[in-house]
Amino acid sequence: MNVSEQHKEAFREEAYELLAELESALLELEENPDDQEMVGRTFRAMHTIKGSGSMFGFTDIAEFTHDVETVFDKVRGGLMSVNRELIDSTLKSCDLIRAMLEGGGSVDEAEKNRLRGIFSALSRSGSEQGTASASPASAAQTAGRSSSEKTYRIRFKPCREIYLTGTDPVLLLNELRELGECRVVAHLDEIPALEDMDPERCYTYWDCILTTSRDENAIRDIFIFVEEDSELRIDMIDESGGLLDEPAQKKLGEILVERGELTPEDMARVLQGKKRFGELLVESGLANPSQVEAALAEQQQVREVHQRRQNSDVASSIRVPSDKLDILVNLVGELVTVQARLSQTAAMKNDSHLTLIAEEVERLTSELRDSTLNIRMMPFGSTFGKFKRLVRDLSNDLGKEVEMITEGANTELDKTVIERLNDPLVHIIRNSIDHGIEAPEARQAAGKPRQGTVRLTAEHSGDCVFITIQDDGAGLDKDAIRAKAVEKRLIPESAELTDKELFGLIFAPGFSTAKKITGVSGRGVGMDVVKQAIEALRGAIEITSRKGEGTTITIRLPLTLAIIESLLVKIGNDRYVLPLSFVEECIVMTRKEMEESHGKDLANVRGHMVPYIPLRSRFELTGDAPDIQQVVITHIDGERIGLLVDTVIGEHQTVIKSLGRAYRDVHGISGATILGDGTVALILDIPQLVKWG
Amino acid sequence: MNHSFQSQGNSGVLSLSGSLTIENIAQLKSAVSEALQASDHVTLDLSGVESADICSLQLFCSAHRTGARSGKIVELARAGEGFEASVGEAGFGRHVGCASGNSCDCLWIDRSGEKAGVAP
Repeated sequence: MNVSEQHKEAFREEAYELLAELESALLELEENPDDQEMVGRTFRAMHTIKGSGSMFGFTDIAEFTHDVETVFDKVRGGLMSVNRELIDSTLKSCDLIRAMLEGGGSVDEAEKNRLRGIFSALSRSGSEQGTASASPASAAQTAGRSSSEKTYRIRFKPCREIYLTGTDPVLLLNELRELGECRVVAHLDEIPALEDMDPERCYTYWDCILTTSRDENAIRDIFIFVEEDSELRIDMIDESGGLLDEPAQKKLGEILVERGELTPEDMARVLQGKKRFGELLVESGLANPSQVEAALAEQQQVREVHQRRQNSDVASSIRVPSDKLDILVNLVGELVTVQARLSQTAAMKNDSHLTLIAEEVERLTSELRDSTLNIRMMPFGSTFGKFKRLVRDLSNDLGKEVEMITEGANTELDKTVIERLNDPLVHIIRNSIDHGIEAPEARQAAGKPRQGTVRLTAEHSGDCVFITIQDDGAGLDKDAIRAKAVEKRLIPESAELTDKELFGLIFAPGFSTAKKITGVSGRGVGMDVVKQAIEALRGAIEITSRKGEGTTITIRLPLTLAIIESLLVKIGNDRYVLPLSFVEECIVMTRKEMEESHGKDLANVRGHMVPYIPLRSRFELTGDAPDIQQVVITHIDGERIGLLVDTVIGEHQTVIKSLGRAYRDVHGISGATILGDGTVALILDIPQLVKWG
Repeated sequence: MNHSFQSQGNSGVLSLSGSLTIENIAQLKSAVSEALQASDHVTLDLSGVESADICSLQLFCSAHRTGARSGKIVELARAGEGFEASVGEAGFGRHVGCASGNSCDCLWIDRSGEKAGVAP
């Protein structure tokens, strides 16, 4: 790849990220059309795509994006408002830009011309005033913000006779605006009644909040000719070094919500009824509106500057191809293995000096492992935008009103897990909207709000992440599931099933209760594939549902795929690894107890009979089992199932190695690991073992 | 600057157009004062105003307060883009009106305000 190709590739990667950000900003904007921050984000993303596009030779993208950018600049300037059509067209533009990035003739020219027509008409409509010419300057301001920016509060109180000296204060304010981002609030409290007013005198004075990379002298220069007769005070209120940053303190409500003592809904309700502090101050006469206004402007500007700084801090990361990371993770895996050998050797030699070194290496390796795995972690929220878009498009197609609520954007998961989770989640969300959420009229008739809700949440719990997809739709129809299962001969007609077992049938291959096949779902190739995909990630999936109230699907996933906590067991001369997340307990099984169960593979666990799989015979191992064996009791889909092994060795940090394509059809084995003494142990895939056992 | 005043009963509409500058501020002051004397409810129609300087903006503000003191209402019904831009440039936009009279009818509430107060 030559340099220019490399740059193009870098641009593509950046543009894909920007498009993802753009989509999430647009969807937010659809919810809150007045959210200036989202308008700003949309504009900046378009502006960057345009600018970088033309720099790296993607002129078609630059040209196309230009009109979209102009339109959002108008929105930003308050000359145009955000509506559904605009969001629609912009989202479609995102798709088109993506197609242009991919190249290879996948661009729909007719769609491109249609969208260009829409945006060029929009960009010409409304007021022509100033905005188009303003955009490059403001964008340059945005792009060129340096880290040495400071925020100043400037109080400018000109002498009453300023007009007589031939100076218009507005011109000075405009000069100030040219130095950077500036909010201006006029104080009007000294304006007298008409009869006392000399209209040629200036009774107004100003507070300006300016964020600029220029120094105080540059500000003073603007007022140089009027400074003598005017009151001019310049205070620095914030600087990028963070010296003046106040520690972020939580508000009372936030703390109460965090502690679970107040629900977010209750807090919102109380806040709604509450007057704003500024209004209270004005009402009580302690401050006049101008003072409140100026303070608000200051607060908002400083907040925005901080936000921007935070964003740029996040952006000051380096981009590394993921295969380099994979190599690093592999190497760390090797290191963990070698370290285990070192510890084992040190223990055997009984050499305190060597043990000391081994312990030090163990500590360092463990830190290195954690931080390496941490690099691969991505916030789950990075996928929310895509799912929101899916919900929006699907509900439009199906004529349903659906809102998607997402929670837990900061929950981190291994990058590979997030990627491989995409298709299953898409399928589940599609099902929720297609089968779960009812049509608006049906919802109303059932006394529900017209708009349905799909809630996607992610939360940590121990070494697992729980992902929940919850809808408030019609819920699962138990009778229909049962009828279908009988029809498909999955269960006998007389079968008595618990709700859980009944819902579990949905995951059976070829199961679909949809009366007609839509483009969205209902082809019957679905939930079984979803379950397989989740299990391939060493996860589990569960459904709960109440008729008329909705369905909840919970997915439990391990944090990472590279290293797991496990239980090492021995059968004959071989050792095996069981993921600890499935293990509940271990019990002893004597030959006598086995004989008493008359050949039935059942273990008595404190009075409860638990079936077990004798792994020795399951793996067709030769040799005799010892007199005392152990049963590892595992927990799968709510059932307890044991695995009979010779001995349990103990807990083990397992670095997972893939077995390669040759062994992909071997059921019950998900991978292998190298132990401290250099031997290989197979990692058991417990759900598969149980399924095939 | 051009101005006209049309009254009906106790209310009247003061229509202004052109550029409101310090050169015609005296004329504007008398037009506003006369309108306020002639009616209890003065509606300002500023749709034809191309620009307004600080002098005229503070004059409107003063008229509103003067009216409020004697129970009269001065309200801004229509304003063109030129006037809005001037309000924004001068930083007159407000979220909360002043304590004189009814703060809800403050001329500057949500008028370009914050958005226009920010550099373009």
